[in-house]
Amino acid sequence: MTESLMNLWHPIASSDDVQYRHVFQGQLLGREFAVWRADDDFVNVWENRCLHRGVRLSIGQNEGLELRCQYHGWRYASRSAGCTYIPAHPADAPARTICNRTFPSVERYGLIWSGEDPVGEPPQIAALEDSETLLLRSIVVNAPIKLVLGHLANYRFSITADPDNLATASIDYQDERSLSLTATSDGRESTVVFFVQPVDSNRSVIRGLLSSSPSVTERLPTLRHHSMELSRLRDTVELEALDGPSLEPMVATIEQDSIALSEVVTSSGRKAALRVQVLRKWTTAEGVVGLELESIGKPLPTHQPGAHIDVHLPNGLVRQYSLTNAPGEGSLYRIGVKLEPDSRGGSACLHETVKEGDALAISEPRNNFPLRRDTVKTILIAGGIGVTPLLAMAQTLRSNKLDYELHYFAQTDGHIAFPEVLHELGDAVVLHLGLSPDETSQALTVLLAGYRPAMHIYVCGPGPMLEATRRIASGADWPDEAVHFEYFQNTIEVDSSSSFEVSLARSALTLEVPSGKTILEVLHDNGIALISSCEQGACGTCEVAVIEGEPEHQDVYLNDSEKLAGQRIMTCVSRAKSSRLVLDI
Amino acid sequence: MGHFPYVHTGVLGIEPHTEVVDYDVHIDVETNDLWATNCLFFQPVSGTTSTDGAMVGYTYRVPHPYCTLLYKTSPLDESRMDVIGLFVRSVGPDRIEAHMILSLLDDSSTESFIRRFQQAIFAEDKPILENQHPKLLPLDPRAETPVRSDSLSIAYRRWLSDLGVTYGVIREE
Repeated sequence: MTESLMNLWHPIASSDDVQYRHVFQGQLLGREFAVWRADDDFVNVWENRCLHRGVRLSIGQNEGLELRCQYHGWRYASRSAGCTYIPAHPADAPARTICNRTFPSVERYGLIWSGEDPVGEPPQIAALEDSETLLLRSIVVNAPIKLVLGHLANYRFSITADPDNLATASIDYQDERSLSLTATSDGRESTVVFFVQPVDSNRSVIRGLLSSSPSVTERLPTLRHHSMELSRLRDTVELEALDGPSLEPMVATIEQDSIALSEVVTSSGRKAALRVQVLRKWTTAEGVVGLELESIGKPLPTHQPGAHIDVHLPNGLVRQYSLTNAPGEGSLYRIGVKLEPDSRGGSACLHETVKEGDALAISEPRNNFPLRRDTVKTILIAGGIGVTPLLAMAQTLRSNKLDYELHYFAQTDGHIAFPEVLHELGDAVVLHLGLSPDETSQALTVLLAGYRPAMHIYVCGPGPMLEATRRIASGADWPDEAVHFEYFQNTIEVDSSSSFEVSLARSALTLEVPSGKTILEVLHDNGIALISSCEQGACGTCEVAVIEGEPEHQDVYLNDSEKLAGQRIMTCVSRAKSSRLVLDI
Repeated sequence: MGHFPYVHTGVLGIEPHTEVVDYDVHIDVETNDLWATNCLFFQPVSGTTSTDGAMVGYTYRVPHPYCTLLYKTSPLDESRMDVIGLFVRSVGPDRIEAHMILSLLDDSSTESFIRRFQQAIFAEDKPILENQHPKLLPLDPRAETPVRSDSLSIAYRRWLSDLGVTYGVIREE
C-alpha cells in the first residue's frame, strides 16, 4: 500500500499554513518537509534538512526569495533550493552542486499538494471545481490511513449543523487516500470531500472540503459542527488503533550528498549543458534588448548574483552574458544584450536573428563575480550595459535588507536598461547621465570618499571606467580586496611571442608552450581538460594555481596585488617571464 | 565559529562579521588530542568581562570523544587564555547531559552572573542540536556538506572513526 501512496499527490498543508515569510513544517509518509511561500507566491516543498549539517530548514528564515538556515546562515534560492551564499566564506561562490532536495508542489482547493514521487497531476474533483468551497479544520489522528478512511466512509453529519439531526450520506467515490460523501435531508444536499494525508504509518491528517460554502451566517456553525463530529470520529479511531497491531514508523530515505571535492571535467573547453527557449525579447533601452530564457525540460540550476552564462549562438559563436535577475526570482534567466557597433556577429545575432520561441544552448551559470553580504555598505557602479550583473546584486542586497547604492552611468535617459527593475529598487539608484570622462572621474571621486571597513565596491562597465574606478578607489584608501570588478573584455594587447616550459605538478607532465600558442591551447592539445570560457583573460574561468616560476600576467581578471603575488595565472592569455612555470594541475 | 552570528546573535557574533578565516587543525602525535589553532573571530560580547567588540583568538582541543576544551583570549589580559571545558555524559545514543567548567579571569562579576551568561549561550545551541537530523552523528563525509570552515568538524569525525567509536554515531558504510 505504501508504495502506491508514494506515487500519489497528497495535501501536506493548507494554503493558510504557508503564510508570508513563514516556514511551515510538514510531513508525509515519514518524510519531513520545510514548506515556504516565496514573495512571488511560489510554494517551495523541500526536504526539511539543510544538507550542510542536517539542521531542520523549518527553523530557518524565509527571506522572500531565499531561505536562510538558522545554523550557519547558508542561503538557498526559491524553486531550485541551490545554495546562493555561505557567510563563513563571503568572498567565494558556493559550488553549484550544493542543492537541497526539492519535491513538486501544486496549490489547489486551498491546499498545498506534494508527494514522494507523484505521478501526473493532483486530483481534480468535479464537485470542487465549479463552486466556492469551504475548507474544514484539519484533524490530526494517531491512526493509520486505512483505518481513518474506513471510519470516514461511515461519517454522518447534519446539513443544518444540528448534531441531533444527522442526515444519511452516500459515498460518491472512494480511493486509497480520499472519499466523497453526499448527505441529503429535507431536499437539501451537501457534499464533503475528505483527503487523508498519511503523515506516518500511525498518524494521519483528515483534510475535508465542503463542495459549496454555506451562507455567511451558517459558515461558523457548519465549521464547528464538522469539527465536533470529526473530533468524535478521531476519538473512536484512535481507540481502535490502540487495539491494532503496532506499526514501525516509516523511515524516509535521505539521499547522500554528492561530495564536490573537485569538479570533475570530462571534456575540454566550453560546455553548453542547458537548453532554453526565448520566452520574451524586448527592447529595454537604445541598442539593448532584454531576453528571458526559460528552460526546456529540467528546471534551471541556481544562479548566484554576479553569475554569467555562455550563450551558444546559432552562428557558432559563444558569448557571455550576466544574469540580471536575483536568485530565486522566477524559473528563468534574464539577460541584457547591447548591440556592439563592431560586433563580430555575437550581439548582432541576438539582436537580429534570434526570435521569441527560438531554442538556444547555454552553459550552466558560473560566478566569477561573487557578491559578499558581510558588508556595512555596498557601492555598485555600472557603466552602460555593465549594469546587468549589478541588477542581480542590487535585488539580492535589497531582499537581504543590506545598505547599498547603485550608481548607473549612461549617455542619456534612453540608454537606461531595465528601467522597471530600477524603479523597484527606488531611492538606492542614482543615475549619472551624459558625463564626460573627466566628469565621470569627478563623480566617482565624490562617491568613493569615506571608505570604512566592511564596505565594498562592485564595478562593471567599459575598460576606461573600470580603470578610473580602481585608480580613484585606491587613492581614497580602499584596499584592493574591497574593489570587485568584472571586465566584459580584455582590451590589453596580448603578446604571445615568448616561449617557455610548463610543468604540471599533479599530472607529472612537462610541456613546451611555443610562441603563438597559449598555455590553455597546449593543455587542450595534450588532452588535459581545463574549463575555459571567454579565452581573453577577462572571466577567470581558466585560472590555475602557480607553484613555481614568475607569470607574465596579461589578463584583466586578477587585481594588482594578486598579480604581484604571482600565485595564480589565467592560462588563456598569460605567459611566463621565467623559462619555466610549475602549475598545480 | 561560523554559527556565532546566527545562533548567538549580538553576543558571540554579529553580521556582517561572518567570515571564518582558515585555521589550523592537527592531532598531537603523543597524546592523540585533536587541536584547532589560530582560530580568529569577531565577537561583540565574548564573555562576562568584555566591554567592546573584539577579534577573539580561540583554540579548540578535543582530548576525548565526549570532552572538549576551549581556550579563548581573556578580555582582561591578552596574554592569557580563559578556559571553558565541556564534558558530556551520554544518557543514551541520542541523548546527553552536558556539564560545563569555567576557568577565567573576572574580578567583577558574581558567580551566578557568569553562570547565567554561559547557560544563556548554551540555551541558544540546544534547539539547534535538537533539530539536527539524523540524531546520531554521521561519520561519513558524504552524509553532510562540509566546507573549509568545517575543517575541525571533519577532523573530529575522522578522529572518532579512527578511534573506532561506534556508540552514538553512524559509521561509514
